[in-house]
Amino acid sequence: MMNNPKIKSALIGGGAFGVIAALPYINMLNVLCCALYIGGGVLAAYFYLKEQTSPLASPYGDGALVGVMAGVIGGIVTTFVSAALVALGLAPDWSDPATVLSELESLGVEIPGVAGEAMTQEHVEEAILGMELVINVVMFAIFATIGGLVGVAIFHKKDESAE
Amino acid sequence: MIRPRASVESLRSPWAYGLLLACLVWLALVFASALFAAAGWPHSDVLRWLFHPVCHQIPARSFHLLGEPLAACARCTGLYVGFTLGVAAWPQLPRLAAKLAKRPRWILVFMVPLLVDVMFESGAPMRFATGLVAAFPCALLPLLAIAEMTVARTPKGDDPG
Repeated sequence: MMNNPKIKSALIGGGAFGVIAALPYINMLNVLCCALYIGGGVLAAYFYLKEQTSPLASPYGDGALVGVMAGVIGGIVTTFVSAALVALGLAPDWSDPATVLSELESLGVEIPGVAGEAMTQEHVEEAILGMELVINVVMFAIFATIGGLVGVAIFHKKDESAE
Repeated sequence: MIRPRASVESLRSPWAYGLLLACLVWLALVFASALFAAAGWPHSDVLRWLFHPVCHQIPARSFHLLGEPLAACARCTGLYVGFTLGVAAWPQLPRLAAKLAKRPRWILVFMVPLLVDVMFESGAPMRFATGLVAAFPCALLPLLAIAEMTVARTPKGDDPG
């Protein structure tokens, strides 16, 4: 599997930026136009193109594919590294209903009674972690795909003889 | 190697229209949270929450609709609007698209105003405008990816467009 340049590049790009996106405070860079998610795609595209010895037939198609793979990997890595950091006490516990409720209240968000009750029931931590996993994977995949395409635009060396 | 001209000729494909539809849905979600909040819908915060991993959502830095902030800040809204406009417009601008496809690194030049704007305190219209300018050329890239895939899957002799 590691011999496949697409998977290898996606693991590097998605893995590296997935970890960065999970680190407290550093992950704030993501609010800057999703810089970390897009960066994961760009890095994956860079490593993929670096492995290629000849110009590609469909560079943008490959860039998009590498980007989406990096995004899926990055989303999973981010979610589980965040959970690990919380377990080690190195980051705020967003899966703890009390933390979420107090944070939402401090932001002035009114919690409907039903939602507040639901958040204090059993297995809600697993549900929140599951929702975070889904949204991280989807968002990371969308923006890393764009990153992969931008990476191809920057790093792909064209076959000048074909033009 | 697929020549840029060949790719640009096949920008209008059903997948490209699918991408445009997806962009419109995305944009609708940004506006819908404000509309639903203004209408008093109790779960409008769920729509806002969808965008929390990719935008700071600070109300003071966002446009407001009916007194409620949009789900994304002014800069992100500009990026989304610019990207959507790009997906709609590039197939109608084949000559310009061919030029950009030939020199794709030019998209970085369009990101310079956004990067400069990030470093300075500016108003929401400026943040929206720089976001729009940065994203518009980027929209050509997924269209080129779709065009490459369409060309690759089209048997020789058939017109992919």
